[in-house]
Amino acid sequence: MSVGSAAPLLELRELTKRYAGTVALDRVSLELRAGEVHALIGANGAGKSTLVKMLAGDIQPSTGEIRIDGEPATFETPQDALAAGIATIPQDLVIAPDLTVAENIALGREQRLGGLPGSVSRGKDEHLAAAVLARVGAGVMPGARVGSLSFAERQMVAIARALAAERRLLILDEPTAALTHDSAERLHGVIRALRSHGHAVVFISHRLDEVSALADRITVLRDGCKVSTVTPAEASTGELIRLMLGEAGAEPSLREASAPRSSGEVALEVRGLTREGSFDEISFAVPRGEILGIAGVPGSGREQLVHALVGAEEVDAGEMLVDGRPRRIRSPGQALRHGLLLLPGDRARNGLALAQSLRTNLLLPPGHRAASRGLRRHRREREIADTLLGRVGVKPADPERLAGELSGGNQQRVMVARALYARPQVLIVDEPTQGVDVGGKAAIHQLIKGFADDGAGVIVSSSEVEELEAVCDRVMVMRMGTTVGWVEPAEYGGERLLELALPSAGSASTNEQED
Amino acid sequence: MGILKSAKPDQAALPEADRTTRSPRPSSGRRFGSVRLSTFLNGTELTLLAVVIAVAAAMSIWQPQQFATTSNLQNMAQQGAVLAIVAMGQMFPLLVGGFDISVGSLIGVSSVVGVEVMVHHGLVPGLIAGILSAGVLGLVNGFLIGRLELSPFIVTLGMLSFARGLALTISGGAPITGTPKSFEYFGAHEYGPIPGTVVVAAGVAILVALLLTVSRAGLYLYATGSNNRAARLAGVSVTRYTTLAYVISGLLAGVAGLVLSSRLASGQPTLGGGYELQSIAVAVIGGVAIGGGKGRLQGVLLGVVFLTMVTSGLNIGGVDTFVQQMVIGAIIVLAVLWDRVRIGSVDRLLRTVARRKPGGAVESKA
Repeated sequence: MSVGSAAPLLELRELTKRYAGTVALDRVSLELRAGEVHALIGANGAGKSTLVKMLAGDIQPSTGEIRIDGEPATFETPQDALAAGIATIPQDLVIAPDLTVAENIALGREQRLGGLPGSVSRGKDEHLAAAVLARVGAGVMPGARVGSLSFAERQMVAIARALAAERRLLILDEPTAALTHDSAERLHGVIRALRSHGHAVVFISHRLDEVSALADRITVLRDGCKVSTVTPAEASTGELIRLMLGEAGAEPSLREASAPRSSGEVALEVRGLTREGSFDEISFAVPRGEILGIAGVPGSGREQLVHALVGAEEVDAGEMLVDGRPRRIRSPGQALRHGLLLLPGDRARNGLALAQSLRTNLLLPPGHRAASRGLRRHRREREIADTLLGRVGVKPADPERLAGELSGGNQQRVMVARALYARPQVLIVDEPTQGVDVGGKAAIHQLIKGFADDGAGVIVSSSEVEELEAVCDRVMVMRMGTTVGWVEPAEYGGERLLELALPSAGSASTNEQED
Repeated sequence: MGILKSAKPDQAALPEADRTTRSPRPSSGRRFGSVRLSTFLNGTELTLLAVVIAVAAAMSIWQPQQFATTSNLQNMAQQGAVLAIVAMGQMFPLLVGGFDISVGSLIGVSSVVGVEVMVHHGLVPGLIAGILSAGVLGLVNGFLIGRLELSPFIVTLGMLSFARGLALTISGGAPITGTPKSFEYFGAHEYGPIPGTVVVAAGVAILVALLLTVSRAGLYLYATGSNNRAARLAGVSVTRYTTLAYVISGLLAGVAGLVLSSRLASGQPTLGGGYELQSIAVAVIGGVAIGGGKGRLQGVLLGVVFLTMVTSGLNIGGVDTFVQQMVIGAIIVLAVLWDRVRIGSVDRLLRTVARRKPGGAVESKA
């Protein structure tokens, strides 16, 4: 690095973000130089998204400072961040599928036809788009309709759009999580091209092999704090994992091998369940009283699988046996009648009606015990809701509060309370503690164990290793839609689970950076 | 959307504050004994009530001989009652996140089917046939929207045309006369000073209130409109409740069609035009959210009272009918805008604009 050169492109000084009672990001400092690929890694809840959201201007830091080219900057809106040259490319790309590649790249900055106000020169736009695409080596035709492109190609279009707008810093949020190996390779090429053109790139990834191969420097976050910034040469994949998880890997957070509660009766058995493009030939059995874990990074097909178990996603092949009887489940309502309930991840989108009261949210599953013959009894409903909220420890336990006013941890407790109300024979929980603080996690885990203790078959689907090891009797690991292995309690605490879940192709350290 | 989100804090904040100080049990603040206006009306509705009272007072002062007279009040009640019946129906598609622009045409179908059957088979079969005919067409709407997931706009637009054509075909394009004398009790008759339409509307309002508050279906209708995916994953059959919403909308349009027919003592195929937009307008004025999940009967009824009163006032004031349309249009938009001002989203918008301008109130943190 040329010492004494200009100030870093971006500098974060002691950036902190507090939410009511919790610290999402704790005094994180970071420097980004032009021509650098900087990876950001960490377990779920480590603070990666908080950091990215602050750089994108979506949220504002509680304290701390952001400097661009050495000058203090405040991003109060996403426009401020864009104006400072920072482009964030999220996983759910904001891109118009019905427009062409060139139109998407030029959108909002169209070239005029002969300088005529209000006119659009498609020729010039396509020319510019082609130039930008060529610069990063993205083999995408400017005239192609974006809707016809693959996910990787759409990301390249989003990147090209940022370049056309002359953004200097690109933030890629898990760009390769949902990509096949070949597509990811193409995207890596684009990222390298960005670096060689002097752009700074921040990328977030769960794939440690690609992190090592691609990044110049790697910053590891854990529980909202920066653990360290290392170069790939300084840290092996194993060391990165240790940095991400801290001593947690060694913690005896294992599910105590309590006397086998499983009575041997199988609550749910799945044989060869397949959905094209999502998951393939999945088979497992959950005995009553047992907790089965399903591990996998986002994009591994895990979420689609749990949704398919309750009929919220269609399946192409395979069969399900509930209590030993074959069942075809076509909707979550039907699933519930057979005793299966899913507590979905992404509460705001899939789980709760945020503008409705807790009482409404709790009593959603049909089979409404507070009602008689379809008529509601409000006093009884409030009593039930009071009891449920008390059992899961939502404070204040006011059933009339709107779900949207609660913190993430309390919202998740409300979800669990809903399961207590519905009393399923098979409880499926997706990401049970997403966005929940440490204390809340333990409480929710305890509640989930309670279902198994009461004789239900429980499935916990999660991308958090500690969580799976803390609650599950065994864990099925998914990667790219298939089962890649099983992890038994004897193997908990090591790196086996992560190794299986992450496509770590050994040491693919073919990176060519100086420093 | 903006309304929906930012409405949360102030809706709950009010009762919340005195609950904690007054009652050991959080939920007991809603019991009787501590009845207050805010128990029945939320912010939007209170504002609307104040506006209604202000409009009434202003009109009474301005046109004392014409506005607050028995005959004008009866007249307004009669008109408002029909709109109320349609709007209460319209509320359901709105609650589940859609809308129904076919209600005007369904009124026409119910009118001609009801009267035709009534003429040949008697009063009660006629009433049932009229209401059910519109209900069945509502079921078709509901099936296409709830089950086949077609757009509510397209489906009910198609039904708007189809049902009107159906009404004209059945009647041969001409009014059907010869209704039994007893039909007048369904709308034309006056019970003391109270117009029959009002009695019917009150009956409908009671049923709707019960449906929304004490039936399980009410719970699921709100949940479906509030977060369709979440309701579905919780096991609610959102298909069923979406369909139900359009059936109710159709049934109530059918009731309105019969009430209007009773007043005209005939079946009219062209009856009901304009109700589709008015019914959506009063619902929105009353705080029902386009997009679903939010809206109450009180608000819809206040919206009806407001619009009816304004229309009557403009008539009495001699405002040109063409100009009236412009005024009503402006009121619809202003009502929604006002609601946002009240909730504060416009406030935020203005602040953002101010911040963009140089010299605007920029909060700079050192």
